[in-house]
Amino acid sequence: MKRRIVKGARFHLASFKAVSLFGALGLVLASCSSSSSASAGSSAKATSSTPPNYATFALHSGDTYSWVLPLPNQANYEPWDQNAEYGMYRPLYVAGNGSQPVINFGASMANPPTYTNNNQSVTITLKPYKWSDGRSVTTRDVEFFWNLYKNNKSQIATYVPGNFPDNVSSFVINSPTSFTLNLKSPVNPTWFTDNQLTDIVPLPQHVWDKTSLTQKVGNYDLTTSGAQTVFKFLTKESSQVSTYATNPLWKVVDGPWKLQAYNPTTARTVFARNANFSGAIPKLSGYVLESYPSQTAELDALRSGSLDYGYIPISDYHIASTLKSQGFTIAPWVTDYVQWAELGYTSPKYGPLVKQLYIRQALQHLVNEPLYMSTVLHSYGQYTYGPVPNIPGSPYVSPQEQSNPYPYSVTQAKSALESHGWKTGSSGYLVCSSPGTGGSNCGAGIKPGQKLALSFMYQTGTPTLSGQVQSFATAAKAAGVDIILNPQSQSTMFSVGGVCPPGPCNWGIILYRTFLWNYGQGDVLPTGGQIFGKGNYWGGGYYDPVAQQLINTTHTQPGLQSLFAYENYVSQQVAALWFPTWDWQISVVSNKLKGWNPQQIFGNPQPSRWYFSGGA
Amino acid sequence: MATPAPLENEQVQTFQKLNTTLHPRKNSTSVIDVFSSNKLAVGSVLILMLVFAFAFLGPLIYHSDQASTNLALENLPPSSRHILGTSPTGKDELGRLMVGGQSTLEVGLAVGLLSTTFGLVWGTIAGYIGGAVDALMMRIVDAMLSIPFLFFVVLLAAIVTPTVPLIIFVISAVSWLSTARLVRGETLKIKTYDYVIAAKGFGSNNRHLIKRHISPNVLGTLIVNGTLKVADAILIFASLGYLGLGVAPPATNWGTILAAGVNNIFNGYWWQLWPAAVLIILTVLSVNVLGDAVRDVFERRLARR
Repeated sequence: MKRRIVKGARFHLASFKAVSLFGALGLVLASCSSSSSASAGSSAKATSSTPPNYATFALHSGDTYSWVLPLPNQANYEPWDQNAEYGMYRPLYVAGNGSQPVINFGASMANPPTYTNNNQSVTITLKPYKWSDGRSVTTRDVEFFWNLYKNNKSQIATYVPGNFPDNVSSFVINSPTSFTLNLKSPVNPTWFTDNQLTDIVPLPQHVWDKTSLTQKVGNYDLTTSGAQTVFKFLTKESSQVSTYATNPLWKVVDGPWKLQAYNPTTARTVFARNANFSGAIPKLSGYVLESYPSQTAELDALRSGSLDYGYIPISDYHIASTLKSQGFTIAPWVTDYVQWAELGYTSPKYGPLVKQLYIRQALQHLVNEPLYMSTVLHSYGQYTYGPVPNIPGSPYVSPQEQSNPYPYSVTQAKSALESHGWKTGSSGYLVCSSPGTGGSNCGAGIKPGQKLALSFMYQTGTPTLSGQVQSFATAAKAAGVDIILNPQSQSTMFSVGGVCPPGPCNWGIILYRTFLWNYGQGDVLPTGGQIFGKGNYWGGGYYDPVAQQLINTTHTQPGLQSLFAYENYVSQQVAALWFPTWDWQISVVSNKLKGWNPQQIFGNPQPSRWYFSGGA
Repeated sequence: MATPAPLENEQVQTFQKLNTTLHPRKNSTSVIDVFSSNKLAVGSVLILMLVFAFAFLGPLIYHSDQASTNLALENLPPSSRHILGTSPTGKDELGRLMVGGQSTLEVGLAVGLLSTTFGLVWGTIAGYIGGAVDALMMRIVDAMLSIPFLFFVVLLAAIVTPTVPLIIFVISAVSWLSTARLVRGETLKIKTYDYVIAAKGFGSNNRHLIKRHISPNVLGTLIVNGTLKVADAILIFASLGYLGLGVAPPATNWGTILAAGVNNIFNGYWWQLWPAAVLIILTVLSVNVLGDAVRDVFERRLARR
């Protein structure tokens, strides 16, 4: 995940106090200001900073667009970045078709793939797309991507050891419009198409294949060292946010949008329509990604009419009716994500505790999903009992995962712990009275007299999240488990939690505010290799040979049974603590903006479909 | 043994007289008179007494469970059962303000005391000894002042879970710096005064000079500065809580309560916002007014008005 850099963050005590106090007072005063009745959606006309027929879209507060190269490293692997990148550089296969978690073949750069040789070869034919400079998109552009990816895979966030490109034995160009990937072993075609081919993005070789801005374009990618140098150069250029609007590298695109302007201070990003796009030309002349420092600022922008497509946090659901009367449409944005709290498997302190299945099961018994849904989430979410998104009608959710294997019960939680040698100590919390590895013992690595205590790091500033976490801690206390709450800022969470594992971790449980992860941005089939497979980054370091085998089977065995077996096992094993998955946001959209519904299942805005009523 | 010459006796008497003049030992009556003549000061003391009673005696009278979260009771408006409603996590808001007030006032007082004491010792030594020692000590102060406070706090919060003692330490660690500068400046000035030079001439050692002649003369400035430090610490602690860098739940402070109220700003849950804001403003204002009054007492020139 991205580590955010606060530009010019030079705080001294006095200024800090002043800023904080005045900020707080400002907010207090804002609470008594009357609500604006400004008309919504002024972008159909020109505003002072938004050109005519440009729509404005708000990223979540704190999120900023800051990466252009569609080969992200771990520090720049964000869905909003990738969505904007894919607007300029369209992937071979587009993940998500409206509200359906499937490939959108109609919008993809290639025809559906053909599998042969017992599912060990796949041939892909490109559609007749052109770059914005008039050159055709060819298999040379795919080869360029292949060479950069293959030779720099360890630096690319979507790479999972053993998966693409490791599972490809050869890349064969058949013609300028057709290529074949020969695979090392037979694959599940659905998985390979949904989760591997979606990572491939044709890149403009005739513009990018060089190692400096002044160098003439060559075929440097054809050698390992050349591909590494080119990748290094492109990565460096992508990190130069101040040059985004002027860098010639980013001027040639094959997607519907071109980067028109970028403000490196505010991260306000303007995209213009690519008039030479080979697909359906957008009706809008352009769109703007707005980054607001706070939700209050975002809401003010909505009310003032300078923002067309915003959101309100779930905790502010009360004001939806007010906004509706002010010319907005309100719609929850349901996404194909799963919310979970990672467990600190690699933590020397907490690892021995969370590695015990009975402790994980007891902890899951303390998550009161029905209560969270009815209170802090106000029903804006889905119950979550396992690693597969439990959205209504999803074909991927097994019957078992649709019901809670560990329903809320303090009694059952305490009973499970006491049956493994934990007794209530003088502090009121459970302590291990029966160390050892037997069936009725506390488990490996747990010392006699050790208190059952876990540090729980979570993100501050979101009542929806802190309410759940604090309620969980209260339930845990009733069961004799000491949950030491450790609220942290988003940036600290990303820097402390995001790099751990490999750790060592100083947290037992960690829960992110907006970390509603899918299966690697762009993955469609929820097989979970990136999450709970070996060497994972976001599963807390979970590793189980059985789970790994089941994950591997989903990659090779066609059909959904292997997926069901995997999700049932990981759910039963409580690989992570499952919390209800709340909706991505409650969208607030100007009634003048059309074409935005249905909202894309992976949380990516689709400005190519938007238009203003009565507009162009 | 030779008796002291009459002239020497006269010198001693003159010096003692001068010393008394420049080191006024205020009689208690005049202090109370000066203080009580300032109605704002009296009002601020009364408010502070009420705030302290609210925070520390209140929970003895008004019982509420501040350790447990009950989401079923979230965001309830004021009622006979919850006089100031409930918080976003279902805790009684009035009880929460009391508990939050305890940590807020503890931090304020502790930081005021610690930063003032340390700043006094550091600044006096640096100012009195002077030379290389002064330069070294003040460069340390300068270096510490250049560390961005927020960075310092965020870093610490990432390493350890914030607690009240830790926050006292953190705020004190930056608050004493300005006090040390102030005291050093005063010391540099006072040590050039005739009576100090005279005392030195009469054989007073450094320890005696600092204890008897310099420290008492910076005391007035120091106490005023100390009250400001208390107010500053309360504001900083509230700001940290507001930014989510305060103490971890179930502990709280007024800033954290204020932040929760701001999160619900558009839902109209005024009881989560205004009481905490009013308490912060009242307390800080009262401490500042009290500081002004104390300055009046110590400034003889002002006291004569």
